[in-house]
Amino acid sequence: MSGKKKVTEEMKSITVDGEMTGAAVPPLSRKKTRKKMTRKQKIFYQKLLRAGVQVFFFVMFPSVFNAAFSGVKEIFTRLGAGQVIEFSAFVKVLIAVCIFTMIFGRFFCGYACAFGAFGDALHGIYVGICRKRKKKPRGLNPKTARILTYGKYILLAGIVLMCFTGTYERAQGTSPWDVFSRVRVFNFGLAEYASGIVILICLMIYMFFEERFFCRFICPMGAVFALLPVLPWFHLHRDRPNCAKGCRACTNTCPADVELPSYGESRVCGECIQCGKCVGVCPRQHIKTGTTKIRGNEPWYVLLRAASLAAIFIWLGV
Amino acid sequence: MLLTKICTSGSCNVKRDPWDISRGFRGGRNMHDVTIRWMNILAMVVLLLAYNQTVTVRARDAEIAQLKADKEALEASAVAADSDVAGRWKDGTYDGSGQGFGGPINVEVAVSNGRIADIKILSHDGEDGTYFGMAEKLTETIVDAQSADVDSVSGATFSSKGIKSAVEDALSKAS
Repeated sequence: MSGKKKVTEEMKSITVDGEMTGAAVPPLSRKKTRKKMTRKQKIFYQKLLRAGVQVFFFVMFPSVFNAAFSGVKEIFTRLGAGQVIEFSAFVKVLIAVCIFTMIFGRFFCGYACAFGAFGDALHGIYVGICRKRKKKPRGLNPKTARILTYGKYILLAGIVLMCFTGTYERAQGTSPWDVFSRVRVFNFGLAEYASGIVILICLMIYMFFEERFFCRFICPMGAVFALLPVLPWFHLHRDRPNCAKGCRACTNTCPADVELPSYGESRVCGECIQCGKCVGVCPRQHIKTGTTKIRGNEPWYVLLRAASLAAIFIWLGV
Repeated sequence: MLLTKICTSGSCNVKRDPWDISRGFRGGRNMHDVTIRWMNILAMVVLLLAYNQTVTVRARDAEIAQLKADKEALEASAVAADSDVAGRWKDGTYDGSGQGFGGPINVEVAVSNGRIADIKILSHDGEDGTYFGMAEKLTETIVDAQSADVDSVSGATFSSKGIKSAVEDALSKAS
């Protein structure tokens, strides 16, 4: 764990160094180097930083996504049974993650969710293979993807309804998350999880080919997050009227095909997982958070959010 | 007036999504709108709190009625039944271990007067914090029931099973 932290720290210093050398050269040439060299480097370091944070959360807090969703299930089970909803450990984790998401957006999904990180790793392998074979990785057609997005809401509604009517116990063993978390601790007593194993393997295949397949189309916890409001100061916006004509760099690079709102729009993009890829890729640097002072992918901002989320988890005893 | 203002500044500029089932009322304000989302959250929290309040009051009333009935029944019989489980176990403290979610859970069960007096959890290295936190209260349930055969905490089945089998293991040494 300390090794990962060190790596993250190292990356931070490298990025800072890069900025400083950029500032040291005269302004004219600086513009050139920034546009040609440094942006690519910056994107690379952002990727590295994100991977570091993801590994850190995977090692330290690997079960938060499951615990938070257990909170949802518990609330609806208790509602259905007419019992008092207690502030149990699950409900506390759920509330904490939801409040964090309402402030900073789905940072948890993009950086701290163990299952999301697992999917990113799988897709990373696919992208690596494509690069080696000099082929472009193929993704889903955005229109199909938009229809599939409703899958997660349907699944969420189904699970919630089953909890409410008290029939969820019967679906035990179908959850790919349970299989995933058992395998993660090398506990292979999976006898009653046959259907869960099959589902997990199918999901892994899809996650391998399509970035964030599970998160976008199936994750019921993601459905909860996607319905939450986000403080407009920290929601990403783009300066659409001043964009290059027809430029869709941000949407094309986005793992969720998000069309960001312009300034002044009160729209919330529930699908945005705050990965920050669009910020780095925008050729005119037009993407910023609502405050316009933060661009959304600065290392300090990422680390600040990661540190506060980690602090919340430690405080809750996750 | 207000509607046109919202329309020009808000989501009407955005190309309508034909698959967006949530759009369509109040001149283009829809579920993507941040204000509506905040109001939804507020409404949900208020509803849940109100629900909790109602259920708590009801539960308290039911408990009072139950206690009254118990009291009357006791007074009528006037004979305090001796605990039938007394003397089931030999006094002392016993260690036990059971397989939890990600490793063994070790407990220490104290038996005095033939009854389970206290259960201490010595180690639970392989468990996830949240799940173990949920299952931990099982020790109280077991002491109350004087048996390791109690219902698992839903959602934390494996940690629950670990605690129960650890207590059973300890009790097997006590009999």
